[in-house]
Amino acid sequence: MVGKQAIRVLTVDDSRTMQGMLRKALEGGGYDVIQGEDGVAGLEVLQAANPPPNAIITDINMPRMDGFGLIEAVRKMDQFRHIPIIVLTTESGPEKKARAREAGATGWIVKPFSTDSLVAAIRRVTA
Amino acid sequence: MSGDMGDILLVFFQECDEQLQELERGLSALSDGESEQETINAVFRAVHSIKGGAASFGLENLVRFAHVFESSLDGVRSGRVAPTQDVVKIFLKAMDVLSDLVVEARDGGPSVDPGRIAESQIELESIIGGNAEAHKTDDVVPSDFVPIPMDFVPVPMDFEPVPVDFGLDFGFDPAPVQAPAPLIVTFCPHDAMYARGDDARNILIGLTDAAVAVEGGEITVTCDASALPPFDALEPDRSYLSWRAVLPAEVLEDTVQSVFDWGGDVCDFTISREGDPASEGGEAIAATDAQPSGETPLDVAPPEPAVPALAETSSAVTAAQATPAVSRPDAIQPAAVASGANGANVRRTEQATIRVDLPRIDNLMDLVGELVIAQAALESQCRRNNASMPRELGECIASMQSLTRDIQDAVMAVRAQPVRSVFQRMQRVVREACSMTGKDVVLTLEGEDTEVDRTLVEKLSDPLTHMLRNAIDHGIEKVEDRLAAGKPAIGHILLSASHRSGHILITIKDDGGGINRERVLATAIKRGIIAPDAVLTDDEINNLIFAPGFSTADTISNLSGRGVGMDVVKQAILSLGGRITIQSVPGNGTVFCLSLPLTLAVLDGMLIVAGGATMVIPVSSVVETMIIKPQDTYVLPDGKKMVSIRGDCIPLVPLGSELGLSAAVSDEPRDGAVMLIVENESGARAGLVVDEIRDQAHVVIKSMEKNYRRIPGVSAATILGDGSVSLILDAPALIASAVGRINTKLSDARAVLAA
Repeated sequence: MVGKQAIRVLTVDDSRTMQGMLRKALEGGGYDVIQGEDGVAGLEVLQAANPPPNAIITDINMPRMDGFGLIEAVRKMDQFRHIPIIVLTTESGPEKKARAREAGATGWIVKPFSTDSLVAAIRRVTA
Repeated sequence: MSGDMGDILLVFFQECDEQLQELERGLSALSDGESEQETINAVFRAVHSIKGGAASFGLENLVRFAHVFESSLDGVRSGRVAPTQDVVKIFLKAMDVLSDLVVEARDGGPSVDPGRIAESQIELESIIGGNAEAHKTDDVVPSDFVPIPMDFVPVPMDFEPVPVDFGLDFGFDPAPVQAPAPLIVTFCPHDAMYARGDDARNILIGLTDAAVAVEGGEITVTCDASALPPFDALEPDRSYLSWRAVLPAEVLEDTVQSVFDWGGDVCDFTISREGDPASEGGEAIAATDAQPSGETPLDVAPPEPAVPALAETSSAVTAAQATPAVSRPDAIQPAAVASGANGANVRRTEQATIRVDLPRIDNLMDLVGELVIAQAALESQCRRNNASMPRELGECIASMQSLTRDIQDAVMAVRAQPVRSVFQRMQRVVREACSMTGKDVVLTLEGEDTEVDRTLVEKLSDPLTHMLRNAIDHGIEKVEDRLAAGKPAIGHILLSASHRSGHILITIKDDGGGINRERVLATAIKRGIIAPDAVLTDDEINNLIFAPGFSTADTISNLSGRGVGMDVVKQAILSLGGRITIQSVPGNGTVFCLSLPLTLAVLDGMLIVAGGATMVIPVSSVVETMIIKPQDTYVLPDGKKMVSIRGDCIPLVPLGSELGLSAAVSDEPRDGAVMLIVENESGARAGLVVDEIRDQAHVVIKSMEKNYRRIPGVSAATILGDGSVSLILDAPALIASAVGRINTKLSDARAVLAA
């Protein structure tokens, strides 16, 4: 797994606490982390990122553009049509999942997450 | 590691404060009748964020309450519940509890009264009807969650299966109930699965993880490529392959089920035990066992679903090993580039704000203050050799002067903060005061966007709290009395802020009973604050409430009646360089006006000479300057002089003698003497007679009180360009003493008390 060091993950969350945790967990797992604080910023970071990320982790509830909006927008971009997107949310209702799936999310992680579960999820979609 | 978490925890609490402010703002807007979806969303988000963060740190109490709060808010957000005043009131109360819980979590201080939490919780649940959610709350933080872990702890999710666990956790569950036959999993992804960024590969990884979690577990994967069309008919976006995996017998069905948690809806799959008739598709897969194995050169084909390379037939090939052969162009390319960049930390998130430690800004402000002084010194040095100063040098100095001023303004702007934060806190003060006194009062805020120096913002909190409590406790009448007086039952207090000629003006206006002057007077006499035979104006009586040791409450209430409040308020405002005035109409209410300097650091001053001393008077208080005409001056019977300006008579203050600088000199205004007309915040004017107006200067305020003591008529001192120390005059105080009112007599009254 030589390439593991280079795997880059974009995290989008409006909570600095969550951003800090994601960064710590992912960097601890050897990932390169880039971040955006809401959907709009996430898209900007995504488009400006060089190299582009290999996966996106996004919160749902965010100002300006929520996670669903972000996923839909990303799926419309040719380059990122197939990028794995994991939704990070405390909301666990089935309708939320359905909505995330509909928007094109690959999977979800429920907060609070453990480092292991987060890394496992990323590994599963980027291995 | 734990240091990191400590930092994140700090960030979390900072964020909690911000979210609580956001919450307060949103709820205030809702209570004002606004019902924008975005406001409701913001409110929801605030609680949601606090809950999310708190859960990560195992702050159980906080999570539990936030969860209930969030559920109720969700009722409003989804439109099931209308945000009526009553509902918003419950939310506001819950917000107070939430913010106390945050404090409890942060400081570990006295815990919040469980009764209060429970009460609020019940109210919240009543909003959405029933307590269906109540049981759920217990599961928000798993019972085995370690409280306040300073590092991440794997969290078994009770209320939500963790779809990412691939059975890693479950694999170690108590031994499978029965472990008869190996588990056979078949699946066939739909096209939609790939459209979602998922991949058969991901499922294979999940299955492999499940398999290897069992001791010595292996997975056997076969691929059915029978549906694969000829190459030229192959559509890159279609899914043609299906898979069959054989997992060790010990693997639980549930574990496998969880692997399909994410993509189960876009993938046909079956899970069965070997020999189970349900193992459909087995024949089809068996037929593919002859598929050639090995890598294919088709890596470049855009999406990988159709790549036949994955037809792994050899036994015990783990999916993890197989996957490197699977690669989408968009996955492999970044990986390559990223390794080239060697993981350089390229995060250029554009940030609209940065956080700076306060001492740094304070330090910057101090430096700017020194710069202003140095600049003035340079200027005065050059002026001294006036004749010889080259024009260019003069221009340089002028441009430097304007730059210095700009820098100063810029630093001031950095320090400036809207009073919103402190004003909004007052809503809570009012709510609490209301519940303690049993009165119903609405606080309206105006001008929350008015910006003032941040040190001022902080220091305003206590005086405003005191004054509002006082207004509710003593100002607003009991409901019966209000109704009897023909007023609405609900009291009203207006808290407003505005800028006024270099000052910030804060008013607290209540529609209560006004100051009962008779009672104030009686109390003051009883307490020996004034002599029994003193004759005081209404204003003077009003101001008695600021006297130390004064309290009008018949019974000392536990809210504001400690008799120190208003005195402390006055001292606090004075120490900020401000002043406080009262207007009160019996039966109609009371208005307190606080006038505070915009900044505590620098002011625009007019350099004047009076009684042989150079002094500074704030330009903001000077209305105009003129030469006195002898025919306009009049002498009053008590020897005081007045001057008539365009028909208005204002008192004339010979500054030198007023300050005791030139008592010997006749204070007869010389013919052609210069007079400055100054005005205080309530519009009262006086004419200050000075010898000369020398210059205008930007001066740095140095506190007199801190270094010496308070001098009436002088607000502070400064250092002038030539290095000399000069006094900054307190124009409103001079006006007040000239108009012969309030302050002097009150301080006389205090002197009596002190004696």
